[in-house]
Amino acid sequence: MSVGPTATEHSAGDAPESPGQADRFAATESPSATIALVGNPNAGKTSLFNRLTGLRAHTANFAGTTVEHRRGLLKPSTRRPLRARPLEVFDLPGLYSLETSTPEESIARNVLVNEHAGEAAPDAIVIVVDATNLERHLPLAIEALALGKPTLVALNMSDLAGRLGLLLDLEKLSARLGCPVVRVSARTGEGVDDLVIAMQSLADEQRLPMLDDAACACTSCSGCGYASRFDWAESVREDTLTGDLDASSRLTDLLDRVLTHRVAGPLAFAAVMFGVFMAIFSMATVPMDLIDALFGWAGESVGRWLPEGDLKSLVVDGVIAGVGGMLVFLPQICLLFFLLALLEESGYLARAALVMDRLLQRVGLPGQAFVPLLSAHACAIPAIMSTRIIDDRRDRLVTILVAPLMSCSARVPVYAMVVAMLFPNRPVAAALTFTGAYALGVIAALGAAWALKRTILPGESRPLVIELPNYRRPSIRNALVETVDRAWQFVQNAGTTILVISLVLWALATYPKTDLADLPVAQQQTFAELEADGDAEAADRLLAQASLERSLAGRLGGLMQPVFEPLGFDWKMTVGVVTSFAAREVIVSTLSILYGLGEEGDEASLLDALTASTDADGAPVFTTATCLSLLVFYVLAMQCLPTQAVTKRETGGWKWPLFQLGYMSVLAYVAALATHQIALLWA
Amino acid sequence: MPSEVAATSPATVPCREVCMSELAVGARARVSRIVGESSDVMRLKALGVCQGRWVQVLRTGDAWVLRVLGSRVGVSQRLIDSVRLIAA
Repeated sequence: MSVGPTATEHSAGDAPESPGQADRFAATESPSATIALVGNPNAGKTSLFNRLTGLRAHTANFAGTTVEHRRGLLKPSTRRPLRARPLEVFDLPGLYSLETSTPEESIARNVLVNEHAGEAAPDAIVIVVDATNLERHLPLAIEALALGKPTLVALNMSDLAGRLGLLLDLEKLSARLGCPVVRVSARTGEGVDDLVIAMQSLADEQRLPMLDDAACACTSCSGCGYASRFDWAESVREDTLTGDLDASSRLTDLLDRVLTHRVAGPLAFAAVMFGVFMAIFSMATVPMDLIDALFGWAGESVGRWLPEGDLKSLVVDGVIAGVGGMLVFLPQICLLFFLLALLEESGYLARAALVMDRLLQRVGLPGQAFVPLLSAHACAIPAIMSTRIIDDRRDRLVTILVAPLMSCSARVPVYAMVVAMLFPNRPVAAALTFTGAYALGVIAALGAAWALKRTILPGESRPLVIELPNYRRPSIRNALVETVDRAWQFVQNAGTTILVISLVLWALATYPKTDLADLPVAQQQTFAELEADGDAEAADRLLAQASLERSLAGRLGGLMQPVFEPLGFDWKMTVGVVTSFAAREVIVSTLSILYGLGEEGDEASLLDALTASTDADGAPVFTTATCLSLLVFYVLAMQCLPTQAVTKRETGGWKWPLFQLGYMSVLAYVAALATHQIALLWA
Repeated sequence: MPSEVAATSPATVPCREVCMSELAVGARARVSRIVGESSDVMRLKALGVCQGRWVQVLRTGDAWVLRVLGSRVGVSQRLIDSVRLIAA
């Protein structure tokens, strides 16, 4: 056994270093050292990270990037005294080799070798290796060992290896790798305490790996690095592992005959996604209603405490209603991320990308884009956040830009209102129109992706190269951790950007204030008559209608009326377009106010009012042409500032959200105009 | 496009090098070389489809599925002929 390139200062048997080093770990509660978890994407690294840190971890971006990682303090061992200064662990993005081929892999590699500005390199490394497939995982291990940092190997899924009858010679493996090897199972928690102790020793003793001759020859090879590393991994596996190597793949092979089949594969995918959306739409209803009721109650309660005036309106109508309007989608978001996390960990999402790749390649997107695009039917925000599974930055950007064209659940109230006006008491025609609105969104998204890939983001999508890991039972715990993490990001967004947007919109819809004395005499008389009849509610509705009409948003709507007139919109609809700029569903409550029904006007009354409304000449406002134009506009228009805020977060600036807003607004306007004109001709 | 080349395999006699697309489902062969230098080709190598490794075809079409190093790798049709093999 020869000494590795950086092992000359220490030997494997070194005792804990100088007292000064021990002092390094004392005195304060800040981490004494950082340890990086490194491994292939399917090594179970994240599960192990969750076991090692408990629920005390947080998500952070690598400096200057939108690439996330999780970091947290290593939990104490049950068999060792509590450390004065804990160790910090962080979970690097998965990678197959330090010769990287994706931006995330490059960042992981750069952090490891101390070439990422603003990020300190880890003091030690834990390489996570799948015990059931050493040959695939050891090539990365040899590269990481060659970095010359204190390193140990965590042999994950050791329980599964045992069940499959695979016999591992741990001592021999440790000798071949030149570093400690610890058996562990992230799934059951078996061996985690041993790993914690080994990590503490590694940090304290700073023991460097000692590579054997074969490994040294492999790392200094001047030919194909991959081939020499795989050859070395094969020889290590032959030396240290015995048993039926194919045992772990049998069930997967059986399932894959169906799930990756040319015909059955897409059908199975459709069935899985149908199940996911059924779960989202059926299970999210109750918590969504609860959140809605909670914010309604909060608004009422706070409203009773505050004196009438601007402050009350700001808190109740601006802050509580604005943030509540967004948080109501939290259950859908949580369910979507929870189910996607389960599917990803089970190994199925890789198959979904495989079977959908061919379809999406036609519009220039990779197969991985399918799940985010489908998820956008629930809400574009988690869909955009989930585009992180797409390797190529350009493909990811295109997916982010087109995802909001898919019909999200916030569009449903608008579709329902328009379709009910178009086809009252004609359920088949209504259902077909509803379906048509969804289809239009899908076609527009795919068409926009095709156009973007041929214009401003040119180039073919990257060809698919994806590992299809063995299927395994997903961990509920990991899925919950992932869900909580994503939900917290959404709540933070709602508490910052969305709050500011809500306040701006509240101000636009509130100021300048309108007093009764400002109203025309006829309206004042009507108001007085309503009050005299004891119908205070109707009087308030009248005042609210006039206030919105005279507010900045109302006046802006009036100013923009000539722009929207060719689409068939009257001034009330135009005000609706302006007030729903931040959240499309707001048009329903705006129209309700403008038609004198109050914000909570019931659906039937609103439909009656809209259907009966006429212009100055007595002609109906909501003609078939206008309804279709309004429908097409809301299918295609951005009208969701929280989505824009998430696009900004994911793309790292305002350039792409502004582009998204611009192209979608133009597309919506042109398509609505064409629809209106064609419908008029048809009529 | 089969060609007679001196393969870098344990055999000392010239072997027939074939493109991956010539293999049928179930066929097994050893990779002789990977053509190209793109990052996608590098990714193929990182996933184990590189010189000296045995691969088995599990699915053809777009995309292909190969068994390599005890697990499966999905590969787009566009990349499949970057892989040259020595048929078993």
